[in-house]
Amino acid sequence: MKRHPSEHQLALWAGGDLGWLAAANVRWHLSGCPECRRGVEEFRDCRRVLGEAGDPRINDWSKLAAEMEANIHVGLEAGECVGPEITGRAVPARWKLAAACAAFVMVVAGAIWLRGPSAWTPAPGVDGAVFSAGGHLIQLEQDGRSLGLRHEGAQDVTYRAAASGAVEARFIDEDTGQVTVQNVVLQE
Amino acid sequence: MWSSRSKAAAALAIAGFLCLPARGQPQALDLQSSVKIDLAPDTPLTLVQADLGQSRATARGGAMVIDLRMSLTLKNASPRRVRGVTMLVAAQEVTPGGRASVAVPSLDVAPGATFPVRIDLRLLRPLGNGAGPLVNVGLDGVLFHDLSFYGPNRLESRRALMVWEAEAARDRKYFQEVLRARGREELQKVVLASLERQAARPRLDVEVVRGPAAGEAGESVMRFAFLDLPSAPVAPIGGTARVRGHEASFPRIEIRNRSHQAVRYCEIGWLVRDETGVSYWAASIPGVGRELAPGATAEASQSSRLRFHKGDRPVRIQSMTGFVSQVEFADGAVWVPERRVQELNPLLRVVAPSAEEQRLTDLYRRRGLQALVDELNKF
Repeated sequence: MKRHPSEHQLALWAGGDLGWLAAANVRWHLSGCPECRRGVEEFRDCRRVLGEAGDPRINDWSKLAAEMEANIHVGLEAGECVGPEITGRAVPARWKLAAACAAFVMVVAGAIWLRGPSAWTPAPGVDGAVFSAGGHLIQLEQDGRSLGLRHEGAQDVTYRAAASGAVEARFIDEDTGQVTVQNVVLQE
Repeated sequence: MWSSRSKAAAALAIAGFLCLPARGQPQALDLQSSVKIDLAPDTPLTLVQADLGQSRATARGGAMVIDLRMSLTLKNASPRRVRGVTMLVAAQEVTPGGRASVAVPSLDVAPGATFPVRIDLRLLRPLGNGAGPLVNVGLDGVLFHDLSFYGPNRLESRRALMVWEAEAARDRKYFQEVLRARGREELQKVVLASLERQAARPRLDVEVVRGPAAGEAGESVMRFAFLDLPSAPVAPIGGTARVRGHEASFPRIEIRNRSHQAVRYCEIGWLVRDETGVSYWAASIPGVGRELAPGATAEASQSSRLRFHKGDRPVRIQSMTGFVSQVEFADGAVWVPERRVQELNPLLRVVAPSAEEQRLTDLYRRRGLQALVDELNKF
């Protein structure tokens, strides 16, 4: 494949969304084209950054609207203070409206970008709680306190974590011969 | 020269100092005031005895470390055989929202018989904090031989006990079939192979941090490979997690219900492979938080960060594999992988054996082949 793949194809490749035939062609091209490999890396970085930003949500639209309106007013007033006096043909009203809309969209986008992640931050106390499992102890540490279960002397302990926030230890109790499953969890 | 009044004051001060509990010295705990064991009047289990044995409280700096070593003796007061029990432990004052549980699956307790449950709890809290019971212990659930359940089920104990019971029935049947079809010597070989596999199974220490974390430099998005178990009612479609060294975060897995029944819950087993090619059964990803109709898809995702260690050594993640490890249908029935599938797939050999397989093979290890044969013949 002598011709470079399009940006569209590279973006799909970076996300693993290209069909198998096109993917095979792009893979062949990438193996000999450092320029396109750099492009793919850039697309991957973009995906990562967007992924980290998460799904932005706004809880208080009225507050956000007030902030944006205030920002636009401040911007316009500042422009009047420092800008040169406009002479000659007046700017049509529809262009002013378009410029205001563009500024509005940029401010909204900026606000979402900056404030997005905090909108889905869990309640304090749950966020940052640390679960650990190992060394004959499973425990939850939260705000300098801890709750744990021990199993000293137990052989062949299997530890497992739940991505939802829990840890588990499973072992045979040497005294009773019973299988015992210990679990520590945080309920919201 | 000291006056007699000064001498008396000094003597009193020394006596007072000697009477103070030494810093770091263990103090005996008062059972009545520290632990409240709360079993409802209509519970099918009654408390015969509660022993706090070697429980201790130790001051360390500005904190108090409390080691509660509880041994409870419970009696089956119901007319049915008990198959499993889960006790719930809460220390509201220490970790609000934190819950511990101790479950004992693979039981077979006859009506009127007693059995022990040991709870070794460690608490760390600031000194001089609060009054009243430090720890509340209660029953979260009991599963009986007819799969009926009793209990408040705050920790979804019913589902866990049902899964363990389904695995127990599966593995007991397997050992019984080996005994019946191939005899005692073959049973012994199978048990020895299981013990060998258990001993050789690689193990991990794990850590989970709850809540969203900022993206870290050097993180990459890693895709899950999936083991498609043909009989699984739920199929994983695709999934990713962010990975950096020995850390993985934000696992997201898309699943589809390919059965004809609505699914209430499913769990994805999470295997990680390190740079030396060793695979570990590291974690699980709880599935959908809502009922999934036949044919429907959903995404299981968690905002948490997991770290994998082996002792002090971080285990760097090279690849990840997911498989459906359990499913609960809307009617309460559960699905677990077939034993044959587990044995044939080399990757699934790193998964821990069922509680029942552990119990039966441990019985062989402690008491020999005849004890195991007698146990299998009971069912």
